[in-house]
Amino acid sequence: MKATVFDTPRDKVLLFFIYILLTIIGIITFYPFWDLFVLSLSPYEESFRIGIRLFPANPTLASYVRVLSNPEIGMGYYNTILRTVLGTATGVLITFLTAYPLSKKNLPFNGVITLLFVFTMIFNAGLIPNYLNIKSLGLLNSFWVLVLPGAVSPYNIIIARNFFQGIPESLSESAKIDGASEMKIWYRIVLPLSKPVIATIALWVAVAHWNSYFDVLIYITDRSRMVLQVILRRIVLENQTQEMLLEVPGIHDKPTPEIIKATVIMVATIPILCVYPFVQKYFVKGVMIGSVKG
Amino acid sequence: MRNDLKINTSAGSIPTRQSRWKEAWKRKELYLMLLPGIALLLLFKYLPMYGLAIAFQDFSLKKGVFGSEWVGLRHFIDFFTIEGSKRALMNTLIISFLRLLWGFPAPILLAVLLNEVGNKAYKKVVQTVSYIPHFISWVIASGMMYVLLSPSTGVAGYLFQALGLEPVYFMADPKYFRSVLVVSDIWKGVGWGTIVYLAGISNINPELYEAAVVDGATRFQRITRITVPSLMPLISIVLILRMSHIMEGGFDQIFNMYNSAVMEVADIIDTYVYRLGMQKMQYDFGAAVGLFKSAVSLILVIVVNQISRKISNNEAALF
Repeated sequence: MKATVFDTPRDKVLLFFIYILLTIIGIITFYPFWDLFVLSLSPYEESFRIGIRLFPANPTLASYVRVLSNPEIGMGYYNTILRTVLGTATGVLITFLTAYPLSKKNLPFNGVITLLFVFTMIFNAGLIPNYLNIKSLGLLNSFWVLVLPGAVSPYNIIIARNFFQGIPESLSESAKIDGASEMKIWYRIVLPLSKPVIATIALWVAVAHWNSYFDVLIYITDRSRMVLQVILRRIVLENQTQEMLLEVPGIHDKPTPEIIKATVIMVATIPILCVYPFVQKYFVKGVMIGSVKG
Repeated sequence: MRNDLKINTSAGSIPTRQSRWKEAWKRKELYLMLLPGIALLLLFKYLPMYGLAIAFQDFSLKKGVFGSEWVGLRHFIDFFTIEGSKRALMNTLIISFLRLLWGFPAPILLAVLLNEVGNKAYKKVVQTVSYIPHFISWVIASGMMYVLLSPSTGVAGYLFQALGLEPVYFMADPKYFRSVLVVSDIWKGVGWGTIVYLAGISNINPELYEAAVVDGATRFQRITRITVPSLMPLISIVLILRMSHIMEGGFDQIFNMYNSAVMEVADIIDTYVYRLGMQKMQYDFGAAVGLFKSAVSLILVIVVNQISRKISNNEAALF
C-alpha cells in the first residue's frame, strides 16, 4: 500500500534520512559482534592495534584451538547442552500438560487454580528464601535444581492455555463421543494442532536455559557441573584468564587476555547466531500469540 | 509485553457446591494432568514462602525457621537507617527511572521508523539484526561491553582518541556508568521491543493513510497525525504496566556489569540482597530487604492493574 503512495520531494528527503538512520542503527547493533569476532581471529601483534576492526589482518585460529582444547570449555558445553535439552523437554511437557485442563472454562475450581499459578508471577519469595528452600530440600549440587524449579512458567502456561481455547470445541467433542480419554484427546488432537506454539515456547525455554547462569552460581559448587555461561563469566568478567594463557603443547602463539576473552565469547555466541536466522520467525510468532490473544 | 495478557480467572458459574464437586470427580483425569505442574509450583514457588518468616527473626541456620528468635520489624527499621540499603533503594529508583525515560520511547521510535520503510527485504534485514542482542545473555553482553569500552584496546578508546578527547574508562567511572547501563540496555532490547508496536501499527486502518494522502498530507504529517496517535492507547498501557517494575533495576545486567569502582552508583536492591545473602550470610536481613521489594512490587502491580483496566475497558488487565 505504501509503494503506491506518491512521495513529494520533501517526503523523499525524510525517507532518505530514515533509511540512513536505520542503517546506522543496524550497524551499531551488529558491530559489537563483529568487533569481537575480528579480535578473536587476530594474532598477538594485531590485538594491540586499536581502532574500528573491519577485517582481521593475518587471521589465525590459534586462540580457538587453545580455547576449545581447554577441558573446562568442553565440560561447560556438555552441561549446557544437557540442561538445555532436559530443561526444555521438561518445561514444554509441564507447560502444555498444565495448560490443557486450565483451558476448559467450565472445569470446577479452574479460577482458583489459575490464580494459584498467576500469583507467583507477581509475588516471589525472593532470593534468600528460595535458596534456603533448595538447601533444605537437599537439592544443592543436584542437576535437577537446574531443570525442575524453572519447569513451571505461569507466563508460558497462560499463552498455551489461550491458544488451546482458540481450538474449536467440536474437534474434541466428537472424539469424546467415540470414547477417547482426555489424555488421548490432548496428544492426538490438541497437541498436533498446537505445533507453532509448541515451537515458540520450546525455543523461548531453550534460549533461557542456554543463557542461564545464576542458578548454577548459587546452587552448584561442584566444578564438574558448571555450565558454559558460568565458565564464561569467570574468564571474561572475573579475568581468570591465566589457565588459558598457559603453554599448550602444539600451539605456538602468544595469546593476550583480550583475544582469549573475545574467543570465549564467540565460542558461546556463534552457535546462537547460526541457528537464529532459521528459527527467528517462531520467536516473533509467540509474542504475537501472547499479545493478540490478550 | 509480558503483561498485556488477559488472564481470565472466573470459572463458569456452577450453581451448588455439591454439584461442583460431583462435576470435578467426573473429570478427575483433567486434575491428574494438573498434578505435576501444581506439585512443582507448591514445591518451588509456595514452599519457599515460609522462609519469609526469617525476615522477622534473628535467624541462625542451626536453629532453623522454627527455632530462631523473633525480632519483629527490626530488620525493616535497619533497612531505612543503614547507609548501604538506603543507597541501594535510591540507586534502584534512579536507574529504573532513567531506563523508563530513555528506554521506553526507543522501541516506539524504531517501530515508527521501520514502518515507513517500503522495501521489504531491507526492513527484514534491519529487524533481524535488531533482534539479535535479545538472544544473548547479559554475561556475554557485559563481556562485550568491557572489551568495546576499554580505553586502551576498545573501539571507544579509539573514538575518543580520534576526537581528541581524554580517554574515559566507562565501566569504572561512576560519572558514566549509569549511562552505560541505559545505553547497553537499549542496544540489547530495542529491536525486540518493537514487535508489539509493529503489531499495533499493522492494526491501523489503511484507509486513514489513503484519505490522508488524498488530502495531501506529507509523510511526516502521516506519522505525527495518524501513526503515533493511533498507537497512543497501546503506548499508555505498556507505560502503565511498566510502572509496576519500578523496583526492578535490572539485576541480570548490573550483576554482570558492576564492579567495586562503580558500586556507589550501581548497587541496586537485588545486587545488595545477593551480597547480603550469598556472600555475607546475613540471611535474615537479606530476606527482609527482599520482602520489602516484593511487597512494594505487589502493591504496584495491583494498583497499576486497576488503572490499566479502567483505561482499556477491561482489555488489558493481568487479572
